[in-house]
Formats: sequence, C-alpha cells, structure tokens
Amino acid sequence: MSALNHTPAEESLLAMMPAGEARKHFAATGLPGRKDEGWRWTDLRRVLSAPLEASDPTPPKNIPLAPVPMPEAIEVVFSQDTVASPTTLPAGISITQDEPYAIKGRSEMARIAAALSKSPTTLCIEKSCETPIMIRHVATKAGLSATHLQIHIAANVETVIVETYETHEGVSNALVEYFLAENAKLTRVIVQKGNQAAVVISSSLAILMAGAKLDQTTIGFGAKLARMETKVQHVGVGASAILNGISLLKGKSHLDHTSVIDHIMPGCETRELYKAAITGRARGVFQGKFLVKQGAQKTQAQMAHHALLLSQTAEVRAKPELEIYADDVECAHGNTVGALDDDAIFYMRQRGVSEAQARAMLVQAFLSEVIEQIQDEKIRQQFETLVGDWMGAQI
Amino acid sequence: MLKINNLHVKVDGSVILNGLSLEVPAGEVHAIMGPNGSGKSTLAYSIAGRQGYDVTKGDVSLDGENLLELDPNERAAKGIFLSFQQPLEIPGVATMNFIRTSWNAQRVARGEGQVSAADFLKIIREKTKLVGLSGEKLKRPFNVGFSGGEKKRMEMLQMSIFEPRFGILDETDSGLDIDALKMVGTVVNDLRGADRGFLVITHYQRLLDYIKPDRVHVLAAGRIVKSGGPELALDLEQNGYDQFMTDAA
Repeated sequence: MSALNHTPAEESLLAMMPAGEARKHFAATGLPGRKDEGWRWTDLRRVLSAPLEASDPTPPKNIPLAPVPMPEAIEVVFSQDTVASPTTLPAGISITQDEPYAIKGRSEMARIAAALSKSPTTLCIEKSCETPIMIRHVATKAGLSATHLQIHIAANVETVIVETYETHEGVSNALVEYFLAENAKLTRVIVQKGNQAAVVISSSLAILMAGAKLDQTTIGFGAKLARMETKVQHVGVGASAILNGISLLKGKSHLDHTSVIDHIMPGCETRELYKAAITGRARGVFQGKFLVKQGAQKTQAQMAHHALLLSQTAEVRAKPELEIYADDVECAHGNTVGALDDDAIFYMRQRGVSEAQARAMLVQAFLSEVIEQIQDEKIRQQFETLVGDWMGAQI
Repeated sequence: MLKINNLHVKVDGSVILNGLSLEVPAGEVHAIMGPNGSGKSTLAYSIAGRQGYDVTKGDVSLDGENLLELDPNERAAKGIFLSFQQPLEIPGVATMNFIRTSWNAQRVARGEGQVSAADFLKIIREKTKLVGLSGEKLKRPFNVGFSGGEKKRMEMLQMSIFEPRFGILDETDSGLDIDALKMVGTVVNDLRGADRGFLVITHYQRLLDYIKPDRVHVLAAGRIVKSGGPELALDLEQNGYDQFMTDAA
C-alpha cells in the first residue's frame, strides 16, 4: 500500500493524537471519504480538508437552549471537551470521568473520538428511572470537539435517554457506546440540530444482551456534513431493536444515516424505518445493513427507507444491504423515492387549503408513520413541533 | 351566478373545450350530460382551476368575478365546490383535521371566523348521519380504505358542511346504489336555495329522478349542443347521444 498523502486536516489531527495504535492506524488510512465504501456519499475527507485546531477547552459562558426543551430531564452537557452534570443524581445513576483511553476495532471516526476525548465519561444506570436523561453534545466554538461516552444499563432496567447534537461551530466528533444487559430497555432519542455550516459525526454502538430492547428514533436537520451512525450488535438471544429516523433537509445541508445491525444470536428482531423530506440543494444519505450470522436463526429484520424530494435539485442516496448466513430467517428491505402527489395537492386546494399548507400537510402525513411510533407522548409532541417548525420555515 | 362564455381549454396540447358557453343563474340546478370524452370533467376542472387545464380563450365568472385569475383555493373560498369523480385518498392526513382545516381556510379567506372545535364536532356528527357514513370512518386517514361509495359520501359530507355557493357534481352518481343516490339527492335538495347554484354532471338520467334540474344541457365535442328542460334528459335516455354527434363534429 502506498503511503497516504495527508491533507492539512489529517496532518493537524495526527499532531493532536497521542502516540499509539489509533494514531498509527489513522496515519495509514486518513479520514474516511468517497473512496471508502461506507463513506462514498459522505466525503468527510474533502469537506474537512483545512487544518483543524483542538477546540478551546474553556466551557462557554452561555449554553444555548436545547432544540427539545426538557426541563424535567437529568441534563448532562458535553461542551468543548468538558462535562457538566447535576451534583446530585437519583439513586442508581452514576456519572464518572475516566482518563483518556484508546479503543480497538470500530470505525476510524470512533477511534479518533476516543483518542482525542479529554474526559471520557461513563454513565451507569442501575435502577429504572422515570425521569429522562438528556445528553447534550454542544459545540459553540471553532475547532474540533471530541467526546467519548459509555453508557451501561443494568439488567431489567428501563430508561429514556435523549441525545442532542448541537454543533453551532466547528467540528464535533462523538463516540457513544451503549451496553444493555439482559432485558434492559432503552428508549434512545437523537436530535441533530445546529448550524448549517458545522460538521457533525456521531458514531454509536449498542450491544444488546439477551432480551434487551433498544427503541431509537432520530430526527436530523443536517449540516455542512452530518453523519449519524448506529451500530447494533444482538449478542444475546431474543434481543430487539427499533431504529427509526427522520431527515428534514434544506439549503445545502447533508445528513447521512448509516446503520449496521449485526444479528449474532437466534431469535432477535430489528425494525428500521427512515423517512427523509429533502428540498433545496440538500442531500440525504441512507445506508442500512443487516448482517445475519450463521447462528442467528429465527431472525426477523425489516428495513425501510422512503425519501420525498421537494425540489428539482434535492438529492437522495440510499443503500439497503442484507447479508444473511442463516437459512431460517425473515428479512426484508424496501426503498422508495418520490415527490408530492400533485393530484392530492389539487384536491386539498379545491377544498380551500393553500398550496403551501397542502404541501406541509402532505409532508407531515408522510413523516407521521415514524412519529406515531414514538411511545412517549411528550417526545412525540416535541417531534411534531420540530417538524411543524421546519415546514413553517419552508412556506 | 356562474357564467361561462366561449370557453376554450387545452389539455396536454389537445383542444377539449371548444367555445363552451353556459349560464347557471342563482337558485338553479343545471345538469350536463354527454358522451364519454365530450369534455364534462374538463369543464369541472377548468372551473375549479386545476393545473394543466389551459384556458386559451373565454371567461368563467362567479357573481361577476373572474374565476380564471384565482388560485384553486381562492375559488374554493369564493364558494366553488367540486365533488370529484374519483376522490383521492390522502394517507397520513386525519379526516376530521383535513375537513376542519379546509373549512377554516375558506372561512378565514372570506373574513369569517374559524369554527370552534366544539361547533365543528356538532356539525360534522349531524352531517355524517345525513350522508350515511359511520362515525368510525372519520377516525381514519382521509378516504383511506374507503369503498367507492363511501368516498362519494365523503364528498357529499364536505359539501353539506361547507354549504358552497356553487356545487359541481362530477359524476357523483357513478358507482352508487339506490340508497346512495337518494342521499346525494337529499344533500343537494337541502342546500338548494335562492343564492346557490349547482352543476350536475352525469351520464344517466336516474340521478335526475332525485335532483330535479331546472335545465339540461348536452355537451358534445367540447360545446353545449342542446339545452332544454328536464324532459331532455329523458329523451337522451331513450335516444342516446348519436343524434347530436353530427351537429358537434
């Protein structure tokens, strides 16, 4: 393999990274981009070509309001490599900070996040808690912010975690690792909303033990480049995961939803439904992969991605993939791209509704299939508000 | 009330309406009959303002106001209601919400206040009974999973709630059984009044047993080729449209 010609951004990252395996690996492969199969439509290497600085570590004076206001939540804020959390936590919940440590395997961006994170954090949830936990990744200054978070959810514990990615400036690179013990149940809500000029990378991994349940819903508005990546490993019998998502993209924003679900043990279930409404010159990317290992008999896995292009210049790229080595499984995928139905718009206008309102109602109707699946009423309402506000801004 | 003068309409480059003139005075119900492809639905869509129906010549006005300059929703607010020949299904849009949003949009455009949720509920319950729909249907997404007959009932439900100044029924009778035909008759007859007009487009005389038209017009090859009283519909039922085809050509 010929030596890689590093871009100025790669040079600067190499200068920041501590010596070790991660740095060595990065020196050989560089930032992911269009030459890498998993990043062909999300060319991070091109977008991040200018030199990067480590972000100023002093916490910002004012943290902007969260895109989903949840005053009742236990709030953990990561901003510019510092972590702020309540001084008293309910019984059974603990937050600890560790010395930086490297990880092996995983994706390039996950390794970089771990290598550069100044204060890796571990959140342990050992008792079910009705109060949701809100984890905010906030970047308000130029430069690179790296976060590394591990979340352990004990057996039979149920919890709701809302993660926000609020990149107002610079580049955010987050790694979030979830470990769900037997029969743990996690409702994970992800809101990606920040400045359209920012770059946001979130790499997450969820390891599900027997009977564990992950119910994840993402809403993303894109950025100069945004990539929300979720890997799930069904390592216990009868684990199940729901991964749903909404992309609302306008202007020149870019949002990549990538997911890889690894079915290792028998009797696991996965359901994925992503919907994208894209206008302007924005670009949506969906990559979904189901891996079903030989021993993962009786796997049930369904993947669907549907995109609505609202302008001539909107763009969507989708790659659903099934890789199945077991013979007694039910797996399916579906992918559609379409435009709003002119006949429906005329019908609605004939009834008195303006064209803009008709379009908004149809987009909301298109997205409703995802929103209706959100079990928590407050979160469902907040998603409706986010969608409504986005549609309102288009009119 | 509704005045159409020398209307020429092209669809996909083909001339469909070719100098159609028609006047429906306030308080009257006129029927339009004609063979397939004569331009009946094109007339309905042109009055409602559907995109792709290019008016190349002529005028359409309601109470002296030029409709052709208005958007479809503005025409709806002026009181034009079209009962679609093939009503749409709109998945994901709740029926009650859609009807209320539409009605309020019209009312606001006319400078009337929005209808309250409580009043709306009362009215829609009453009208749902009138058109013979089950209340369960209102809980579904708009028209989704409805039979053809139920979709027509949903059109009549909206018309009876909106009480439009001018209703156009585009083959509302097609695919309906006798009970449903009677229901259409009841809805139109209830609304009939000195300041309303209707245009009833149909292939068959039988709907006119329930809605007695003041005038009957024969549309062939994009023009009105004959007009007369209700007896003209009976004549057409017996003798067909062939008698007019040579005139139109």
